Amino acid sequence: MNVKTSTSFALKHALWEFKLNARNGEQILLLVIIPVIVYFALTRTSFIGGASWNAQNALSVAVTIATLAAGFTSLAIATAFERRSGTLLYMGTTPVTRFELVLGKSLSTFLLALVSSFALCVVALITGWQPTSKALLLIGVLLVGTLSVSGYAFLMAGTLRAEAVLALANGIFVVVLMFGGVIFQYDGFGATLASLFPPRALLILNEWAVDVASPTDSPVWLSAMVLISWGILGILLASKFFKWR
Amino acid sequence: MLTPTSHEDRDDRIVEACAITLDYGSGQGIFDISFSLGSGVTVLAGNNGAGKTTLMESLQGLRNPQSGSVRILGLDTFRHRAQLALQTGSVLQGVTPYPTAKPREFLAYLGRLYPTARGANELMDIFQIPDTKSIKTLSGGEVQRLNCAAALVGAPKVVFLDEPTAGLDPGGRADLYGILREQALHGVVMLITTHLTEDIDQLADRALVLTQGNLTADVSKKSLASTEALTFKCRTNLPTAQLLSALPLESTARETVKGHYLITAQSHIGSEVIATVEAWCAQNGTQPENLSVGVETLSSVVLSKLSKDSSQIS
Repeated sequence: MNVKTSTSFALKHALWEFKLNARNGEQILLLVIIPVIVYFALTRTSFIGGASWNAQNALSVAVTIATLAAGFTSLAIATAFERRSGTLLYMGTTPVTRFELVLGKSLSTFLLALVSSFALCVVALITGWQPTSKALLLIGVLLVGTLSVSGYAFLMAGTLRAEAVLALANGIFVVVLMFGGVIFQYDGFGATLASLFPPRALLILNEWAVDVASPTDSPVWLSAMVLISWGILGILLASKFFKWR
Repeated sequence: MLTPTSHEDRDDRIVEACAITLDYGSGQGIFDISFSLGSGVTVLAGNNGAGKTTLMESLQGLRNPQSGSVRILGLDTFRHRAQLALQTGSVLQGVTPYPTAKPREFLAYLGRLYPTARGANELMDIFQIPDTKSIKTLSGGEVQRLNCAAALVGAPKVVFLDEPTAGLDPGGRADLYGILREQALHGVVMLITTHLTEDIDQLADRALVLTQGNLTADVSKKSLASTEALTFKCRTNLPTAQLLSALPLESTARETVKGHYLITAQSHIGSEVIATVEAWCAQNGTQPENLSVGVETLSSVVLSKLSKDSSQIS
């Protein structure tokens, strides 16, 4: 495998998919509008936690949601329908290898998460967030966060029917938002348990990057290890079970 | 199994399939298929379920045969799929990739994947594809033309087109065939599947016929040029073996479809052959109608094979 050629094909494919996704109304709803609504709901109302949240805390939650939406829900649904329509098989007739295709799709997802998070940061800046230079680390967190769940998106898309993926990916997304320790937070054992799963672990890293005033006491390195471990497991499972047609 | 045709030079072996078998069980799949392809248009004909798509995908390395090998330009198609993809183009049956993309940007994206690519604008013009907001707004014929254009983006040496005219009306098919034939003049090897026998003569130089997963005919226009044919209609199920015994050596006699008969001969079909046919019909209590002498065509050979296949199934 020629690394330079593979990177080039993966980048070309990533930009191509990013272009198609970026003008898809459903994607924009999922990746930008919903996280922005969540941000404003947290900062402007007291529905959750009994008081309105500060910009840092709300931003870290919104960025986590956007990353999970891009890296899991959106990727799973798009890939499942591409598999059903034969697009994935068609790409097998082009010079793009399967590895480059998967890498390209993952990079495209990361770009979507990046753009969505950038939009959220702009909204947060306008509404009072005062970032430090550490905020730049959000880019790295987004990359690790996207890759931590993308393997599971490929696993679902490559093993289930497209309609089932559509229902399941959206369902999991809602369940994660409600019970994953992202919006509604746990104390004690519940918090420890939740931090062993990607949504909560990603939130901890995002809180660290945006410099929240009272971060979760779980160590950042542990959250990073949780994300990397889940990511590796997901990629291994996907590469074993993914079916291209 | 048909023996691979003999060839004079390497250009006739750009695609080489050697004894490939992919058995799905219950008689489905392709069995011990061997042939080679050179430049020009070859049609792969067969009834539904004959194994055309399985064979096309095996040739492109999208399916891995249980035995046998496929080589394109000397490279194993399964092991060197990505490398060969730089020199091949493809239309997959029923697949329209990226329906939300604009036709021009889709062709432009594909062009960026090949070292020597044809321009999106050039292909849009040749294939008369309108530049709409998205591929999904194109008509069925326009989509098929776009798929064919996409197959040619990388200026390929070999093109596999699986039912590229499915769903097109006769006018649309004729237009597309014209464009494809013109492209084939530039030395491209084209293998096209179809189940529409009436189109074969205007499209192809050669025809391969698949019957229940087996290659049952491999004929070229060149090989048929010296073969004269006599066609006629009369009562069905007459004993053609009886007629054959009265015809000159190297003749063939068969009922192609119910009540339609075809006689071929390597020599000129004259009044003696016609008299033999009339005598044979009279002997069986009937008379031949619509007697017509001409050169045998690819479509008549394919049709006779396919109708025989259908009668075996039924």
